[in-house]
Amino acid sequence: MTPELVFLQLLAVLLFWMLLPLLPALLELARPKDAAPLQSVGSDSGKLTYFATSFTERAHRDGLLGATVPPRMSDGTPVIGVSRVVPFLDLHRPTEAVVVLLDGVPLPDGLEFSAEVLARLSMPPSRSNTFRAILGQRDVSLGENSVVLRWVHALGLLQVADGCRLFGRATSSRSIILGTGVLFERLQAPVIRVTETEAYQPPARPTGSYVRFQPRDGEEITEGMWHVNGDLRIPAESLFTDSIVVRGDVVIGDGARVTGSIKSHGKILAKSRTLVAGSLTARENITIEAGARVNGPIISETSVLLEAAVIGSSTSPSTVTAPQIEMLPGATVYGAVMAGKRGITSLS
Amino acid sequence: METIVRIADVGLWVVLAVLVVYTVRHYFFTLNRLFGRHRQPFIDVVEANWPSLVVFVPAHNEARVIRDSLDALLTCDYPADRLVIVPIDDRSQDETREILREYAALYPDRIRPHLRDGGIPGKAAALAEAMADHEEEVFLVFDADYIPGERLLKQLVAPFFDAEVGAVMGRVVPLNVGTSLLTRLLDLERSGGYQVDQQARMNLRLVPQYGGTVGGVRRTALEHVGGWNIDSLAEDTDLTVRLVLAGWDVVYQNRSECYEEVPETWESRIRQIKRWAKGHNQALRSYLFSMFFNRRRLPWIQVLDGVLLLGVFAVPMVLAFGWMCTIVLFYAGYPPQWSKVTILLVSSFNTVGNFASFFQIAAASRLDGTRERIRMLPFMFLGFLVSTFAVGRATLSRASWLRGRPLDWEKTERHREGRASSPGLS
Repeated sequence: MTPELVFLQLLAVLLFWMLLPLLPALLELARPKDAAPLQSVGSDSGKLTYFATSFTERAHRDGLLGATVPPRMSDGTPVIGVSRVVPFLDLHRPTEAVVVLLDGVPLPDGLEFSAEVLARLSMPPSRSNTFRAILGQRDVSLGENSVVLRWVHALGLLQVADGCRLFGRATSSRSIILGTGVLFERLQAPVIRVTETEAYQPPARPTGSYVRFQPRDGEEITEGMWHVNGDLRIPAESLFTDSIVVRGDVVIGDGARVTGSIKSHGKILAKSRTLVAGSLTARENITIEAGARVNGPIISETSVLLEAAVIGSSTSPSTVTAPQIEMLPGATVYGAVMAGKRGITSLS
Repeated sequence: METIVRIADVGLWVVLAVLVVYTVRHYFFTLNRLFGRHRQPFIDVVEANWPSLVVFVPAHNEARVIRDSLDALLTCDYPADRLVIVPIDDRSQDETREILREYAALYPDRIRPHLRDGGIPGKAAALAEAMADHEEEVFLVFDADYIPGERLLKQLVAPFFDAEVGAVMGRVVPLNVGTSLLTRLLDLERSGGYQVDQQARMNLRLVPQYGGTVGGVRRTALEHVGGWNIDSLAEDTDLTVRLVLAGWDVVYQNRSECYEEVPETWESRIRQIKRWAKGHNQALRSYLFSMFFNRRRLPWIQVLDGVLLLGVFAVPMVLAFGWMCTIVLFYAGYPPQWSKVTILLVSSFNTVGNFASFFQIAAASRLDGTRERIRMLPFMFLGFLVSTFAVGRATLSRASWLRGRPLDWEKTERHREGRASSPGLS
């Protein structure tokens, strides 16, 4: 072998070695395996009833809502029909079948359901059951210490007893009533309330009966928009008609009224009987005391404590969103409560 | 000669400092996205008293794409009684105007075209003119080739419940990914730019950029900073900086995704890059001083990020200057300073221009949950070279630094097959 040939061979090996990292690229270019657009557009998780709607369509398609229940769904999942005549018998191991509750028969306590449960009539409570998902055609009652792993949707009232854990989405077309010690993530309903306790709402007062407030240390950067560098205290029984961004903490005094929105780089405390027409946004905690009312969304990057206050209204729903949310008895939200990490209802 | 050598020596150190800052920035953003807290405080606002909204869709010769955009907007879940869609026809010579008239006839309550036959050219001027006819506090702007998802309008409006937010930007996702090598590279670049770069700036409370193509602006904020700058080639960057300087927040929503059509030819891509580069450089010239000496005492980290954002298209020239200094020093008889040269090499590899670096793209692909498309990464080098050339030419052009109205406008070419009629007519 001539030295030239050896050199050429070495060169060829070297070139091959250098091009080796390009091989996957060249293969992907020649035979694309992943050249479709990202499937992210429109597939967001904002529609909380998405899974319930999909399952309803599936239930219709597979005849789960007919006069008789088929033994299997179209994808092969077994189906069990449960009624007073045919009670649920498999008490000792998790059931992987879709369970259809044909009438108002209560399920036994302490069971695990790894597939969906469809309640065609109102679903009475049973204790300490673990559900993957529940679709209620009417009211759904979850007994004490029940667990829902993915979603629950009731076309009627969704009543959740003390100590339940609702992972994922809990929605209702009518209302959700939560007990105490309930852990939750995302709730949505025309009205969401903790216990049956009604929140006290002060009678409406004419704006003329308040004392007008204007921040002394603030700067009105444009009409109706203020900036304050330190903390802000809106005095009790006063009226603030603009929106404001505060670089410190905010206290809205007892009985004060704000017609705009408030943003705080620190905390916000809305004291009893305050009325905020706009939104409250804070980087730290937001506390809404009993008797207060906020019409706009409440957005915190840390946590929200909601006492027996009212958020939103039946004609103008709203959202409470934060990584951590705590709701006390009487707390009422018309719309949605979205806890990024942990939501809980507690006694005090 | 000694003076030249001294200038070259000092210049080289300055260049190295700039490049190291950009490199650290890229790494920091990537690590933040991989291990930091994901900040998206507004994405869960699903119920609210949604404000009246105007969606502007500026269009110049967009007959191929505008039907898809309008159809998608019409299917959005925003309350119909509070939504007006205003496509702005800016002197189109194709069938854009006829299409808009057709849609206006079909949906008279929801689509109200704004037709322009004269006036100053450009998107900013068109938006300024159309805005004058509407009084809504919040408005969104979509490019005519953009196809939003069903919930996008609500997602983009939600941040405006925060009184401090002046503008919102959503994420752009290429639709025509599989068309050519270029579209695949742009898909990776967009991924890195949005999933990592923009979201990291959002996480760290820096300066997310209002991109002007899928986003929204609060009227009060816009009027507070003096309205659209019709003299700018990058009215979005220009507005971002002015809002931040005036104390408004710009929010990036990574989960508010919208499809777009990316350029399919290198000529089209080069024109696009050149326009961006000229616009950024204009903004750099206009606001560099204001950023450093701002009245609102912005946090220094926000100032730094703002300056780096503005200077991103000037980096190739900085790099070229660095190499020039190195050559001068070499021929002046100074031994090669290998440590400096190494830093220059590594930095140039990581920071050239506006394009997301390799590791940013890799991180973005991982975050997006895609596996195979990352294989195309080695080809990004080709994209980098082309972009460097385009940015270099743009930076050397007069339009980058001149004052007053831009000399010319480069429209991005569309490639999608146009549809003959709207669903309502077919």
